[in-house]
Amino acid sequence: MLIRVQGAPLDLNEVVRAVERPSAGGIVSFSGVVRDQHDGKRVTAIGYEAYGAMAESKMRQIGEDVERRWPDATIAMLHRTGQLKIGEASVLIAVSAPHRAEAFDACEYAIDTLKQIVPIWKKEAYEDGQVWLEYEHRLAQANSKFRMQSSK
Amino acid sequence: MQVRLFARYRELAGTGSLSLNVPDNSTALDVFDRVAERYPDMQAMRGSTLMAVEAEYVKPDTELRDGEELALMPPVSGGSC
Repeated sequence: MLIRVQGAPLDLNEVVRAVERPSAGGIVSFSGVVRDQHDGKRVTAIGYEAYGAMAESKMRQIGEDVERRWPDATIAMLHRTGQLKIGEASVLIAVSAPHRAEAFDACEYAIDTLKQIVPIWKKEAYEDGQVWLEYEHRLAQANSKFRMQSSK
Repeated sequence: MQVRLFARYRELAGTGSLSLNVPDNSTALDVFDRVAERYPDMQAMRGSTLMAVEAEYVKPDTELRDGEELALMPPVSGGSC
């Protein structure tokens, strides 16, 4: 199973080729790409940091889950780290299966689960500063809960 | 023991790796609290912090053994939107 976290740019052909096989009638791929805006703010770049060894082991676990839930499917996953420019791919997933339905389902499962359990963090850069995503969100939640509790 | 810090926590501490002396039978949360004493900005994230021993997620009440490496991690945000 092709699973890797790397600093070098990702190549979509690599994940697609890794899952090609004669019994597969469909290959679905997902590319996660750095977008130029977030909540109305202009994003200039995104930095990705990973706990490398654990990230690869969690991605492998997702791959094994996929191949257990969709026994005829084969998956490949790559994630990038470091400073990425707008339009560059941060994550690539390809799934092949005899029929398209299971390939679509498995690919969606893989990206959704990756975002929940793989230890990778992104820091968005704007024209006027930088923000660690999810961290800021949870911090705001924690602070508002604290304010509600202390005003009781 | 060795504690690894990532993302915002790494920035707050100014390092990705700390050596700490902790009492026997300390839990992962005990170690978090010890680290958050030094870097108080971490305290608000007590309930949202992910913890891993030897690269596997553990619950906050997991007791740590001598020589194990604990990772303290903010909520993850990989992939794309």
